[in-house]
Amino acid sequence: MTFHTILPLEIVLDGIDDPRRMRRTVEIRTAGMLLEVEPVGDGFGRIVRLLDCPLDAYLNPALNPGNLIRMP
Amino acid sequence: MSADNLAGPEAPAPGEGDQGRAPGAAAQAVQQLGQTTVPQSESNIFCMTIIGQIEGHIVLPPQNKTTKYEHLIPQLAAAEQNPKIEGILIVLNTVGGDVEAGLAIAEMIASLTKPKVTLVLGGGHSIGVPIAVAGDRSFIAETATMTIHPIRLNGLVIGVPQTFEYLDKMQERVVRFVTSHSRISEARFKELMFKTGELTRDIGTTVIGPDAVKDGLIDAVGGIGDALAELNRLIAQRKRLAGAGGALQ
Repeated sequence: MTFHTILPLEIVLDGIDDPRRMRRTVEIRTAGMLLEVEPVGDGFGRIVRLLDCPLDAYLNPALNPGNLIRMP
Repeated sequence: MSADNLAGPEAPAPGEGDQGRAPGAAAQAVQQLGQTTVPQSESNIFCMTIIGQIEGHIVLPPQNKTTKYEHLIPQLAAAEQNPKIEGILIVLNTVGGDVEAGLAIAEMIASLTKPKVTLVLGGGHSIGVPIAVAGDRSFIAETATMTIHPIRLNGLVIGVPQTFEYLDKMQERVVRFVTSHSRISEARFKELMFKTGELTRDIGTTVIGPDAVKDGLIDAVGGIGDALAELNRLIAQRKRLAGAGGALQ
């Protein structure tokens, strides 16, 4: 893996070896789709990526990575 | 958020509106809007933003704001396939990131058959440069910058000549893409890439809006209005050509 960025790599990669700082994610199935989400509490999760879904789901802004979703 | 939102936009496609509406819809439209044709709220343009770090094969720590290539690639495939989308606007404000992921996104954008226009706002640095030039036409904001610099070694460094040859090949992929998708010459791009005395921690150059246009890297200085006007022009041109093609047959 090669980075090509203007940011110093010590800033970009800071904390990559620390499991407490990295995201803890779970897979959930909702509305017929399999999503990887990061639980944030109160029954909500932050979408990390879509794992199994119809192609048009990628065009739905509600399913963009970073959005909050109610966990089933 | 309810599960209803997850089903995706359900608005009818342009031209299908009358069939899709309930029997009383026309009367309701007259009451509420004073006309029977309801304005379509759905846009025919898909806007894609590429911000922060372009995240590739490694999940980056949470202090990074990232754009994930595994989301953008199927998103571009969906935009290409969806008949409601007629053009794609790509807005960039990126500090660079993974070479493979950046080039993959750039190649995807370049190979779309629908009109696509790129706009650099703020910055389109490092591996953001090939993405910025991948559209049919590119714009850069007056104050936006692009940093052109060589690919650096990172990770496990093995001090053998092959390491440098590998890096040189990676860099050549970027140079080849940029020079084949913009008006800049290879010699000028490499001159900017290896310039000394401009950057504090690196060799290379930061080009600001009008300079990027002067060097032929970007087509024009402009903002969102110019980019959308150009995209709409390209969409109209494509429709005209498709119409002419249909008439000939």
